[in-house]
Amino acid sequence: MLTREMQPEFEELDHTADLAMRVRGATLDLLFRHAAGGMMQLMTGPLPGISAQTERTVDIGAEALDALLRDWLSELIFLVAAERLVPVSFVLERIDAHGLRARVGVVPLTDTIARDATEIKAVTWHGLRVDRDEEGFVAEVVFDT
Amino acid sequence: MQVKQINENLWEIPKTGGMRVPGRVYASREMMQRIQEDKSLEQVANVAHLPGIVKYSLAMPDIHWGYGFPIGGVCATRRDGGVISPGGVGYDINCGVRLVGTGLQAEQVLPRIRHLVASLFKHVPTGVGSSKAIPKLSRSELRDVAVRGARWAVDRGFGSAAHLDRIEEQGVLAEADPEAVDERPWQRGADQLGTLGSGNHFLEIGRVEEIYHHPAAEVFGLRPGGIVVLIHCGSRGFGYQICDDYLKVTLEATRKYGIEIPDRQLACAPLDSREGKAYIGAMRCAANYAFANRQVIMSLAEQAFCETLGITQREAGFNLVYDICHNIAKFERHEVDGQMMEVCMHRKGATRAFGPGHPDIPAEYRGVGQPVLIPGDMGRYSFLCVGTERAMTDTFGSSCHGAGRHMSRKKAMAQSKGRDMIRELHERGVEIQATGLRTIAEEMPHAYKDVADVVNVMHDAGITLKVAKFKPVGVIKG
Repeated sequence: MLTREMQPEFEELDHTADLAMRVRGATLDLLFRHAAGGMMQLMTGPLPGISAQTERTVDIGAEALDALLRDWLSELIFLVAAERLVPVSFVLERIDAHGLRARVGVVPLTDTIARDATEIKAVTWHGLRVDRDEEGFVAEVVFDT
Repeated sequence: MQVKQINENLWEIPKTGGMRVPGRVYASREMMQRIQEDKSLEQVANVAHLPGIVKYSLAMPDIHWGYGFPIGGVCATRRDGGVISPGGVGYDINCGVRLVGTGLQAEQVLPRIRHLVASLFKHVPTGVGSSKAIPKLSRSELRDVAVRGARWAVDRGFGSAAHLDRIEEQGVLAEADPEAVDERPWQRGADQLGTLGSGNHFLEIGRVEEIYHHPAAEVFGLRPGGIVVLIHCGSRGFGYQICDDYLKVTLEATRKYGIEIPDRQLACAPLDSREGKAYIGAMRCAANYAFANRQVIMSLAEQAFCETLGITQREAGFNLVYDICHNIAKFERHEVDGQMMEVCMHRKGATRAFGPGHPDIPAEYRGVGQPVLIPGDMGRYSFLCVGTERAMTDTFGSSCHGAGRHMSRKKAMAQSKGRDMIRELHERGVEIQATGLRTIAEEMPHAYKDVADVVNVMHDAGITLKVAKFKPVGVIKG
């Protein structure tokens, strides 16, 4: 049984029409976990006390870090949209600049969760960035809602 | 961003750097001050970099900051040597609006409005992941939807064949190519036909409050006090996933064909390339899904009216006025440099607005022009306008599509804290039912510009003329 993900460290950025966030992580592993947790929090709001009931594996490759981040978040959106599964915990088994393999803990998208959720249609390429700084990694992502 | 004023409601962004044409933005002086606060003008200039763009990169007065294209963006590229950009259509391919007249007067509906809204909410699924409005479709049925659009819905008993003439492109884009659609869109779209989704999508019962253009209102069958239904939604997860998949394909194509773009969301492919043709074929499938979606929803709404009010279909008198796309790319013929040419029209948050006499609008409407449906926020009003000859010469037959947000969702949530938005709307004469309170807060009326300001700019510029104003009395949302 997986547990609810740690509190993601992210900041919602002001965007008139859509949703945007800035996320940080001391390592790539943390950056990608915070990004996943942040996006899910924007989508469903906090889900206190919910533990994953089952899990899915995500295995993807990309030619650059920003594209990898976009693809990672897009995989999670697909789980919600096509399988009605809400990702709640994230274990990165492997991650580097060219790909990742992760175990994603999920719960069913119940009416209760859906009631206060905002639909995120996709992760856009607009303003997408992953940079290194003295504290590790920082990323910005704009979502279409 | 430098802009110069051309006339009272039109501004130009001069051609600089890699721009191939100037930008042109329709806005009042007051609007322009607000527009300059975000990055939307930069996005108008970015669109002007696309290969094959002709005349101008245009923006309508509901322009706001999008991703790649601004919302409210219009761009035409040459058939010969031009490109197509999935970002110029958007994720919600063929998001659009349908206006339905009814045979009912407000006094017949208002006493039962709360029950009617509840019934609509039951018949038309809304919200995140909304599904199962109709039995789940098999893959072959879904392919049929993708190829035949609204005609599929009519053949399945949702509405009548007479409706098809009242839909842009008769409810189907020809030469849709299901083979160009990957596996994931089919999975996302499998059980979402007949659903509204969430965000700014809605189904609204309105009352005709004011008529500005009596001959046109007469042609469209609208009278003061009459009840209308507005449906705003698109291609759901099917379209979102097709756009997402093809942004990757066209990003590679952008590199392959050596195209320089200032924003990756403007990824594009030559119209005659394998990648460009594949996107067009897939995009048309999503457009057809959206036409079918609105056709099904109209029929579900009709059932809700009949059941709740205890009336027959004949008494309900559902009559499709028009159905338009506002996120689409299509081939159209327009005058460029004194010559008629075929161009690929991208409308991203913009509405086709063909003038009187155009062969592509229903014969019975050719005397007055194409209906242009411009919804506002859920508390104030929406407008019906008509296209003009001026639109054909100045904006490739295009106009605005809505109010446009001026407040982020985050700000709207903060401003609605501690307020009972359902009661506030009730006091304004609007009954609302939504999947959750969050949507109602995020979509609060003051999060949007006043749509009357937007519509008046296009009216004063002679691009579209106001026909009627509708006041919402009942709304369902995601």
